[in-house]
Amino acid sequence: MSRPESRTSMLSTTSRQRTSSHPSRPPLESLVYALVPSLAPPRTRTGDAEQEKERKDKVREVMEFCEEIMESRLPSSTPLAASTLSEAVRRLLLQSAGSDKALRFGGLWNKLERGRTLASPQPHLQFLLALSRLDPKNAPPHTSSAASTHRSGSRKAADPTSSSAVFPSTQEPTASSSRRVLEDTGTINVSPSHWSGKGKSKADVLKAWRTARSQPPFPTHLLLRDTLYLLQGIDGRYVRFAVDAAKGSGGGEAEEEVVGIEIVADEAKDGYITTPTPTLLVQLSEMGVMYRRVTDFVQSRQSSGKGSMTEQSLCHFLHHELSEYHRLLAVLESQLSLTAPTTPAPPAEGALDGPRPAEGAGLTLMRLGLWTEEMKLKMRMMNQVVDDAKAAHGGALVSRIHSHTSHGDPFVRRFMDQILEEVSKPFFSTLERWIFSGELHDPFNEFFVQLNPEASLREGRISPYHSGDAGFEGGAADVGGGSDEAGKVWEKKYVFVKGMVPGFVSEEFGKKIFSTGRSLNFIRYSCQDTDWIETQAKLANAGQALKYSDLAGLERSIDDAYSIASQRLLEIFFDKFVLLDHLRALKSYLMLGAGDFTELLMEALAPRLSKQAISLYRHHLTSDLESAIRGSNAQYDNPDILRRLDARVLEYSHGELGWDCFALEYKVEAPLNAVLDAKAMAEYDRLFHHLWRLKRVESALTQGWMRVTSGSRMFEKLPTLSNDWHHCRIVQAEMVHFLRQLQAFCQLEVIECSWQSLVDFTSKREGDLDALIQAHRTYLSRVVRKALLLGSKRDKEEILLDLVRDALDYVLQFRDATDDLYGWSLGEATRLDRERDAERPFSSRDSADTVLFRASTPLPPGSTTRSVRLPNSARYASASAHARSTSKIGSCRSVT
Amino acid sequence: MGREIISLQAGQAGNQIGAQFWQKLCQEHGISPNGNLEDWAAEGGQGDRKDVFFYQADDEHYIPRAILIDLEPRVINNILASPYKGLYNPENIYVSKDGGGAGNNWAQGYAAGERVYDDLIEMIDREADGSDSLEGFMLLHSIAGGTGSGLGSFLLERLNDRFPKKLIQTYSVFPESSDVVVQPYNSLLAMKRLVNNADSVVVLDNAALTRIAADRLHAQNPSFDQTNQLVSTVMAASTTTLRYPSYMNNDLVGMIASLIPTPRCHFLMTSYTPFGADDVDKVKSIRKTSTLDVMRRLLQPKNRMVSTTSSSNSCYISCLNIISGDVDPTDVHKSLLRIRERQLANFIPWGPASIQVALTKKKVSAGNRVSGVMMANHTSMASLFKRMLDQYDRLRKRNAFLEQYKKEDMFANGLEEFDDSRRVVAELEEEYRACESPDYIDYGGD
Repeated sequence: MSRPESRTSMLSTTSRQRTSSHPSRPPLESLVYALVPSLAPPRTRTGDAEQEKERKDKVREVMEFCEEIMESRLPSSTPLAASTLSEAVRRLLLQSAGSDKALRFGGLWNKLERGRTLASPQPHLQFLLALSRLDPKNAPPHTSSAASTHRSGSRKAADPTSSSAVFPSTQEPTASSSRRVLEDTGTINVSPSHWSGKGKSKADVLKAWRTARSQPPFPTHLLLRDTLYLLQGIDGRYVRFAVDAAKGSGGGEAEEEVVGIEIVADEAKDGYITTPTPTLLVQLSEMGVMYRRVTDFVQSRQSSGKGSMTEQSLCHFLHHELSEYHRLLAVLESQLSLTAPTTPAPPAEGALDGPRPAEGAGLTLMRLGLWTEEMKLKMRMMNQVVDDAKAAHGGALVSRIHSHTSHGDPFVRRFMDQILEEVSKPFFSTLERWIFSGELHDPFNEFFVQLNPEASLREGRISPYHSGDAGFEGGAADVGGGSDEAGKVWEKKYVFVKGMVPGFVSEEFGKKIFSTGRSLNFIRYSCQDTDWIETQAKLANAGQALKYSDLAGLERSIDDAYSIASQRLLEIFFDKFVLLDHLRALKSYLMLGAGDFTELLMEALAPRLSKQAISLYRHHLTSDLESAIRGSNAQYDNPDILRRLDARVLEYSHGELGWDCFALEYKVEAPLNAVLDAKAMAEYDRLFHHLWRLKRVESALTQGWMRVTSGSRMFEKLPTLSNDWHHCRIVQAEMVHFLRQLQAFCQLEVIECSWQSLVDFTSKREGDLDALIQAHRTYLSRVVRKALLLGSKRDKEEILLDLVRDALDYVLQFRDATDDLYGWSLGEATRLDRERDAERPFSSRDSADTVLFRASTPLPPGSTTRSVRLPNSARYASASAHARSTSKIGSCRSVT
Repeated sequence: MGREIISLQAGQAGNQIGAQFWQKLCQEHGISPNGNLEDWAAEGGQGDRKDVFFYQADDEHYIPRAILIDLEPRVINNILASPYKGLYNPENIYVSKDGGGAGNNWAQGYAAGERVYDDLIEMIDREADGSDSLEGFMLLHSIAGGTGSGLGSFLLERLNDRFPKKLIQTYSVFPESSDVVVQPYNSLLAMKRLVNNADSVVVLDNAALTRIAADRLHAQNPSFDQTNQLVSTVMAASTTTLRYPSYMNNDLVGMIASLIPTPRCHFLMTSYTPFGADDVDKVKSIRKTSTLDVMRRLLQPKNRMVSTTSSSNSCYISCLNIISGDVDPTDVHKSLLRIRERQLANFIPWGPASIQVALTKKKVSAGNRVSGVMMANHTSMASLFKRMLDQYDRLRKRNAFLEQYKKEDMFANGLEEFDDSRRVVAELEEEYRACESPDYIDYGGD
């Protein structure tokens, strides 16, 4: 950027440099005076054909120019090294004058250097070199004088001159292009007024020629005025926006798409417009187009009033920036009035002629470009933001704007930060309310947390926690209905919208925010008021103004709020609602962990449950439950827990026994059912059913043992049956073993192990309610899956469980069979006793024989076959059950 | 309420062990020597069930369901002089009026039993009526002497008749060969009742107890107090599941049912590890124990409280480990796998069997993190009966010391009772041996 600046200063404000550090030296000056006149005549363009006077004039002109140059500071003031310099001169000579001259220069230069005629020959040589390059005819291609750049500039702008030019669109202005604009304007501005003969470039010459041909240049002030109009998005008189009709016809006036500008000035009448000018105008008018778009946006949003909060604050910001812009335009206009006096005298020599400092205040197209450059960049960015705002809203918009902030240019970055600071304000105020009070205040759905659109939950505010003594008299009806809400409220009341998370908030962090507010909301609406007040007190310290510029602070306060909120919620759950006690109660009562209670209950219920289900009455069950509680250690449990226990009769079909449709139930209400939701309770039910069944079979087997192993000793006098009894016992031992293994597996390896990990988790009190719910779900599903021996495949899930059920049925059948055997044996024993008694009076040998005979004869056919067979068939049944059960135990192991 | 167990302690050894046992239970349940609850246990919710072994008097203090019987007053007087004198119900203490004891004679003890039967049965009936659902009786005695052995045998027979549906478990101390000259007679006669009239017999062998006490205490001649403490520790440990109910093993019958598949093979051996300072006086400190350590040590023969000789065919018919303390349930599973991998335990070939594990929530005193008791039905028990038979045969061959027995009615007309008892014990030994073979399924068949 330094080069164009120095060039403009050279061209317009050379006067400033006169006091600079480059003193003119007499030897050089004399050299110039000696050399220049001799050089001038043959090289002047006007040449020999012109009059001598004119030639003299030109010489003088050149002399003056030289003087001026000598007095000024050259842009390439950095002296080249001596060797490079001489080399450059030699190369120049080689190109222009041939090798002999170059050789000669080499010799002369050597002499000069060695001879010390001059104190320092290099600057002189450099000056001469620079002088030679000024020569328009002999200019080497790489010299970058004003004339040559102008030429290339005009060449570049050649085609848009026709009528309209295409914008460089919204591309970032590259350094080179902006520089070129400045150079161009500089040249153009200089030429009309400055044309007095000094340093004429080709453009100047052309201009002079045209003027001479009575083709005056188009009045600059008119162009400037039109440009200012363009900058305000208004069509000028001579220059106006070109509208692409094809595109614009589609919809409404707002849709008009400006594709460029067109110059409608009558060049023939008002004067010609130099070819680079349209390019310049195009570039300038781009701002006008962007201005139009931005204003359109602002107006449409403000007039309709439907814009979301983010958009509103964006509009506010844009508005502010636009007034800045208007101020700038006002300043420019006042400058314009300075530039263009009311008298339309084209030769405004007085105003712009001469590089006087006072003249810097005037307005030219170039200056316009220069002064508005910063605004143009802003405008471009605003334009981008407006485009973004059309495509996205709320958090997504913030996110989009945020994506612009990672820009290399500090200016862009700063500006975007400003926008974001403003635009994110509503976001942060929503955020603040969300994470500090758990309220979602978001009328336009801009936040990344939103109310669940699913209907019916919108009014899902659950009724305030109703106090404990309300009781549960309602029975099953209110279980399905109202009390399920807390879980759903927690889970479904709000949803996390990933797309709306602003870019400066990572998704993980967003989840934290989501959870924080959710926790607070839950505390507020689902737990009691006092909790909320306490929570608020805790939060009071954490709350501080959140804003975009303090992202680190934001993270800190969110972290604080998150930990406070989730800790608080967990505290409420664990300490106030004693969640762990409830879980423990579920484990003791529904998973039969409290063995004494279970046994008492079973003992009390067994006679009822062995009957048809239809004969079950709930009040009997509840009174049995009551006495089981009172008789066992359960009586020491918290009354609040005990009142939740209830006995229930499940739906049954005809012919089912009470065993099949009895269920122990544990009731939970809000907010506990956020963790213990209906689904979880159904799983607990399932577990209870299975474990209860195991327990029932176990108690049947224990009774059986009393009969078979302990009670049957009295039948040892019946030798015919001893073998059957022995078989019976061995089979029973297998059954006992199978059942106990199964129970031990459920209890030790499944329930206790899972419980252990759950307790480990809860003792840490980490994470939020979600984590807690998840931990409980994992625990429960693990218990259910393993205890019920569920397979991994969905369709074969219950294969093992079915086998176990079959096996348990066999056990029960076996029990009946052994009872039969026992009864028969008892009858047989009494019969034998009676016979023995009958024999006693007789002492004859015959009678003894008959006794022996009778004892050894087969028993009456009917009874014998039946009784002997029963244990056998039972054995086979149980043997096969056992075969299966052992394989099951094996697979139980593999399941774990 | 329910599943009450009434303890009967007969004779010198029985009462000594019983005194220690009650002391231990009181400590565990927080019952002070006078029967009141300690402060820490007063609020309830300890998860324990005191009513299995205690009942509450009108003034709420706890009284053991125990009946103390002896034919000589020395031991019971000691108990009544101890701090725990106020614990027992004085009506439940029977001391023979003549105080002469049973003279280490089974027949004398048995005969004395018959004489005092009415007094005893009155106590037992009273206790049984005081329970909601009596589960059974627990007899503590030694089978070597006169009272515990003879009177105990008599009680077993009568209890079986009177309470046919109740369980009878005994903790029987089996004698060392040197204890009493006539102990082979006494043991054999008592054994017949243990086989026929008890449902489960926990065999505690004086020889083994002395060995373990010596091992643990580094004392050459451990006192009876110390060996009795070992016994009471085992008793307390093996009843923890009854007193601290959890999912399983909450009743005696459930436990026994899993341990005893056939009625005669009901002689259980026990191991306990580690003995802590609060279990036995002057025990040396124990190194840290893990669940696996405990379970492995429980299987080691040197920790068994019975001296049996295992053969290569010896095997477990059943095995139950009760582990208490701070146990990670996952460790139990791992330990079981390790034990199975290393085949530390052999099981019967004729049916499924494995180590069952029960965890109890009982607090374990500081020092020992984990402790465990094993109750097992093991076929090597046969060797014990073999030894008993051999001792008896040696004595019987010489017809030594039979005079004292012949004085009593039972043997006045002959010594058939000896022969019958010998037959029963021999059959038992045979059955235990048969359990080592797969053919046991058809044992006793035609």
